[in-house]
Amino acid sequence: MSDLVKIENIKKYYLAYKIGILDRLAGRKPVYVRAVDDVSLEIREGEVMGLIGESGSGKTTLGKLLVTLETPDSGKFYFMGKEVNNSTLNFVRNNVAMVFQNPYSSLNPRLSVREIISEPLGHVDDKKVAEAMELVGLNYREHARKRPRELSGGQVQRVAVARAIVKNAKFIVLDEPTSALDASLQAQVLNLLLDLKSKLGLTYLFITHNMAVAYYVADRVAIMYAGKIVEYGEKESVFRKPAHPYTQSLMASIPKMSEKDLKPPSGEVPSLINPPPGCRFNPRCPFAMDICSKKEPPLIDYEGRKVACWLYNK
Amino acid sequence: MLLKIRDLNVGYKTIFGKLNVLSDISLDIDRNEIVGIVGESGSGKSTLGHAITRLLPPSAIVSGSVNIDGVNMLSLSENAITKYRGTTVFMILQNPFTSLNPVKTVGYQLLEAARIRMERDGESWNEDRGYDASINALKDLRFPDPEVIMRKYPHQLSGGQIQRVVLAMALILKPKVLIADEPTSALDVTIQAQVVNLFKDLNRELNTAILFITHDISLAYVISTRLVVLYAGRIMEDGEVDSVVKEPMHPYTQKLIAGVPDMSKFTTPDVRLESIPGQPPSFMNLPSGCKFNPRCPFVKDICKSQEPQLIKTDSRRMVRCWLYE
Repeated sequence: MSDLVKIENIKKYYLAYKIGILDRLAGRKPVYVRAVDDVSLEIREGEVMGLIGESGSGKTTLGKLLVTLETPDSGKFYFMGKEVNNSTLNFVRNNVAMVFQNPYSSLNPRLSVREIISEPLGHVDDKKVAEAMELVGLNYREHARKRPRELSGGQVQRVAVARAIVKNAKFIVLDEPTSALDASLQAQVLNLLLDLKSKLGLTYLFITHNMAVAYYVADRVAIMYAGKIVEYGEKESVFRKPAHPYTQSLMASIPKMSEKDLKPPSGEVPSLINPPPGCRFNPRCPFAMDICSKKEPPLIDYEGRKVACWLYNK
Repeated sequence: MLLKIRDLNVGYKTIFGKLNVLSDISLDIDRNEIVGIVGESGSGKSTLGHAITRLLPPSAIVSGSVNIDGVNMLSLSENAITKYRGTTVFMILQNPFTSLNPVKTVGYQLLEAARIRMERDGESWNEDRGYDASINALKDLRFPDPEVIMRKYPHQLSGGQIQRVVLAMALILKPKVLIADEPTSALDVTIQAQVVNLFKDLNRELNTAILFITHDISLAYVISTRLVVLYAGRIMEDGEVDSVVKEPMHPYTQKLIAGVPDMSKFTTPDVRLESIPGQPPSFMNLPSGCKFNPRCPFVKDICKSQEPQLIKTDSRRMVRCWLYE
């Protein structure tokens, strides 16, 4: 399988607050939020890559970078083997789409379903709309003229998915597509997404904070912590034998119907403005060593996955 | 029995007639029990919590009784009920950002809780002791620098921090019954796990009865000792958490559990999740007979015409389904 998407050492920093002219005269330095800091990842054609992380870990920013909604500050981004820059931007945008977390706020409430779905086409094309709606399990005659508020949460999310597939995009970033849905609807939408993927040959980046959902849909998973990918690889090896201490404590924090005790890590996610030196997990890590607070661990190969931890880097 | 709910009905009057949101809820909850209340959105979980704390809007029509330690909460006047809120029954709301006063510091609000606790214990208010109690509660909730948190305003804290501040308030007030309405749905998994462990500690140390309202069955399994499944404002199943999760009796509970993505299910890579066909019913237009019958795979003729009763199948298990009568 070839790499559909490949990023190398990508960085995205945001200004933490505006620097006015007076601040500049006073000699104040701009302060940055390091949302995505030096991340490398490749996504193979036809796979589902699960991106797991807590809020504020930069997973949505990474997703936005991959659909060119944000431009990286540095680093390289290849899509289908081509480097992404101004001349290839249109080509990339024709082939990527994104589905957002809250469908009620990502769809225009004043447009009808058929207008929403045809938005990426630039004109209303009822034939394509009907095809896309059928693929996501919506009835064209019943729903095409309704507005988002007249539909239930599961149906609105289906409309958002229909909008993503109407232009035959190859790569779709799904940003927590089911976290706003009830348990019974969640299973429906997840199954729909998996069916669509095999039917249309899509590639997904599936962003979620729910490990069980990631395990269900993904082929490979990447774990993000404080703007960095700390571990990624085949889901079986990452889930069955997590290597990074953060992944391990994340696993011990998920409620499961087989284990009554949760063992979360102590403390909180660090601020991205001023992350701890060295490994970003070191203040909360039970295995922290001297080197962890001094030098940042590189991503290395370890038992079928890549992991950034000094424990495995001898 | 600490909390005794008998035939609780909650309805609203609308231009289309009366809407019944909760129908004939009867529940007994003992000290040191943690009861998980699960159901889809719109099943009446939050309404139940609000009815116990008397926080329903004035338009609600409530009948039945809610006894906490022998006092019927529903018969008290609005003035009298404020004497019970906080120390007898305490509710943690779903959205942490609306549960604290935005123009008062965290310290002010915690000291207020400490003052109420002391006054209701018949002691005179001593600010130093109240301050110490607040700091200790914050320390119990693993805030590294409680003095700093005391001076902060709610908007300066994250969702997880506010939810822990509200829990600190519960620690200070030491309520007999604690109702937690999806307290962790705005939190990350690791913070959620920390909060879940705090609830368990609170229950163990103070013998507080906890009603944990959630839509996440895995989470309810981890925290509670007993599970109550609500659907369309009715109790469908009630029993020890292990027996309900391992051997669900009601078809709705079975479907609900089958649809949850849970790590314990994924023993092989190709497990497929089941989903419940159809939508939860609207209270405007409930089906006749059993409220689950349009979505039920085992539906019989009697299900469509007559509603089943909640029957006891053994000493600790109850189910509302014609399959077991």
